[in-house]
Amino acid sequence: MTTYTTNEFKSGLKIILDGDPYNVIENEFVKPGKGQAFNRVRIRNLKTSRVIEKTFKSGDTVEGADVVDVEMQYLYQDGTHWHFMHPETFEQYHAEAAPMADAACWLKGEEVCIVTLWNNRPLLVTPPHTVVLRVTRTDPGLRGDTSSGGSKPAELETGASVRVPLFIQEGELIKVNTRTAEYVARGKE
Amino acid sequence: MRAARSEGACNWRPQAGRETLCLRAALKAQIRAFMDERGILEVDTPHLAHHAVPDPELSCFTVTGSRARYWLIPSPEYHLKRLLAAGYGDVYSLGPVFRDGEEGLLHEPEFTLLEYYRVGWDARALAEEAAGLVARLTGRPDRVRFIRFVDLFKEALGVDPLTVPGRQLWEAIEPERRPAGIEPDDRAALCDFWLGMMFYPRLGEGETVVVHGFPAEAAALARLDPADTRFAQRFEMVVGGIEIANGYHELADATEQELRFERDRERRRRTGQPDVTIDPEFMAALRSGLPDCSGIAIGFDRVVLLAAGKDDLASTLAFPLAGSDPEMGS
Repeated sequence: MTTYTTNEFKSGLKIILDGDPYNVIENEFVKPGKGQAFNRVRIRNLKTSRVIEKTFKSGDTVEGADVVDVEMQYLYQDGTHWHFMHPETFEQYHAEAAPMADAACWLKGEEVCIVTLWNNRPLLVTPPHTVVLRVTRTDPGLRGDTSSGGSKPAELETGASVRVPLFIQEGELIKVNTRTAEYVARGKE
Repeated sequence: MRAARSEGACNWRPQAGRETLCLRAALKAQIRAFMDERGILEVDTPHLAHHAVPDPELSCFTVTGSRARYWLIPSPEYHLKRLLAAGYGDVYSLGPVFRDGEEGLLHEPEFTLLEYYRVGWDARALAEEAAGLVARLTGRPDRVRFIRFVDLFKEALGVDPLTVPGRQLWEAIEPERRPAGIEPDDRAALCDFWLGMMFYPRLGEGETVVVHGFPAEAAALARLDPADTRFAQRFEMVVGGIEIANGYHELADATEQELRFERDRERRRRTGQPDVTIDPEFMAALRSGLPDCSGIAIGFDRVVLLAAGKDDLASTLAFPLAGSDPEMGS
């Protein structure tokens, strides 16, 4: 088991606090004139994505979290779990709903995702930055609209909803930014 | 905050802009003129020393030479006091000091310290003079408010930090802000927490605040108040939420100083820190007699920061060390 002292806290370091894994965002050293120094640390809970601020006595030690990011291919969903495969070892992993919170609505199969493993179990699944999906439902656009005009809601084949330009029609493929849930461009197969 | 430094593979460019460096140079000239007017002599003290300092909250860098091992000074105090003991009168030094592990928005492992001494002055007179200097340098109002260490706590929490059970200082902190790694009854550490994390950031807007009457346990190299030995004649100065200076009515009693150093060494042993030998030349100077004097150390880079209206010490330096590690990220 690896432990880290507060001086080793750097952006990106993974630690365990109260049983949960956290990612260090920022570490600020604070010292009154003379006397005890402190580290004010901003950390993100990797389970809930919540960012908190925590103060440590300088030199305090914390257990490191065995957290790694691995690229894996999304295979299928069986109703309760989402299944992924490691491209080199062909080892399969399955994720429950919680780690899929930001990913599930963008995946239809074969996408390469980043699976964050904690103690070798999926903690978080990050979908590709952009995905190409088919529009399954949207109102017909009005004639004369251009791509710089307004927008309208559209439902995609995975069930996700995004706003699209008025000229996009049902059955078309579009490219979507999964971080912002925004339309990027018309998509190709 | 420091994103500018992470662009490109190797950012060789200076951090501070030219106008900030002009300001640094102008402030140094102002300090020298101020000292000169008052007959305070500028002296160059060594940066390599044969001994570190026993203060458990200070960690010195070691330098390994081919003939001996040295330490980089964390302050010019010992050398300046040897000059005082030798009868050289009021002296100051303005130069780099080094503290291992101190990196942050307001900390650089190498920084510039102005330290000066006034023979025959008490701490209050020195604090007033230094506050005037700082106000002049930073262009802030020349208004000083003195407040006792215990009164800061009484005003904010309604308790005397030296007599309430330590636990009460812990319980007064909102649960999510309570520091990890501190025992809930560690009074000294909790006082430091309240002071540095809660009180100071809100002090010194439109005025200079001098916090004085620190507890005897935090006396460092200050003498105890002869009227009430629970307190030391030590003060800290806060401007714009930033601790900018630390001063003492200097302890001249060599026996008492030796006792405090031994207590520091004992604390180092207890907390697993490396032992430090006590500088025999400094002790000999004290024994030969230090004149009655007060001294103050002012963080010069923080003065520049306040004068320039910046919030990051690194931005006042051409080549800051803290945060320049490319792996640090932004």
